Amino acid sequence: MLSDMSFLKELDIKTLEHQVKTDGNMAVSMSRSHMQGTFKGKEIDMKSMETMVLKKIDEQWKIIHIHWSN
Amino acid sequence: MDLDYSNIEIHLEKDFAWVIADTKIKGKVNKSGKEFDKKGIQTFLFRLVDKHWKVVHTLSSSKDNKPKIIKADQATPKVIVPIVKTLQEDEAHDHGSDHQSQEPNELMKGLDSQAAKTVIAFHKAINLGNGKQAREYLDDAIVIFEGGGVERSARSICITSYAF
Repeated sequence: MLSDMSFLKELDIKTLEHQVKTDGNMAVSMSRSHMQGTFKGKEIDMKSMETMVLKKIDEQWKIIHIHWSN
Repeated sequence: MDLDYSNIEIHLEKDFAWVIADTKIKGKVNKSGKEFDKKGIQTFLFRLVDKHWKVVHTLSSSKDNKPKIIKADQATPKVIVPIVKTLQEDEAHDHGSDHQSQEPNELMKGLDSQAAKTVIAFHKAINLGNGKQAREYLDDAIVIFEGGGVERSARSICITSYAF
């Protein structure tokens, strides 16, 4: 996560698609993004996919699973 | 092609389930003859529909089983290759919530729900490098798959957040 946040801070990120489905106390989030910029002197131009599972706990939505892929 | 699953974890939440597993995939592309040998991770999301568990979404990522050694200053944070992404929602069984999206764009759906707002807020926090804020949206026992590896606690994010 630490490297991710350092990395992401340097990039322009455009969400290409994002769908969230809620069913009771569970929800899933599926998205794709396009990341562009320069990180440590290297040009970055890539697309990323993300899946999340969320659960409503004590009336608050919490992310219980993340899968990042690019 | 050989495809093996191991370390399968099944998480049941009434009529919803999410499953994570380690994968190994080895074979040869018929057209090009190129051989591949990869290891990775896979997420499956299931929904119970008419007493049958149906896969509603999967995401797989993998990397070479014997990756090349890359110097630290040349490495990017993530070097992984997606195999497949599927999305087969059964709208008839999507009970939804009171916050279902009305967006006309099919690629952007459900974004007015409270769950979506949590995701968007999390994205904003990590994109700004605000680990402390990002941590607020994560369950303590979160499982994060990334780059063929896994994090099984929000603790590291909590600790690192104070670096920002």
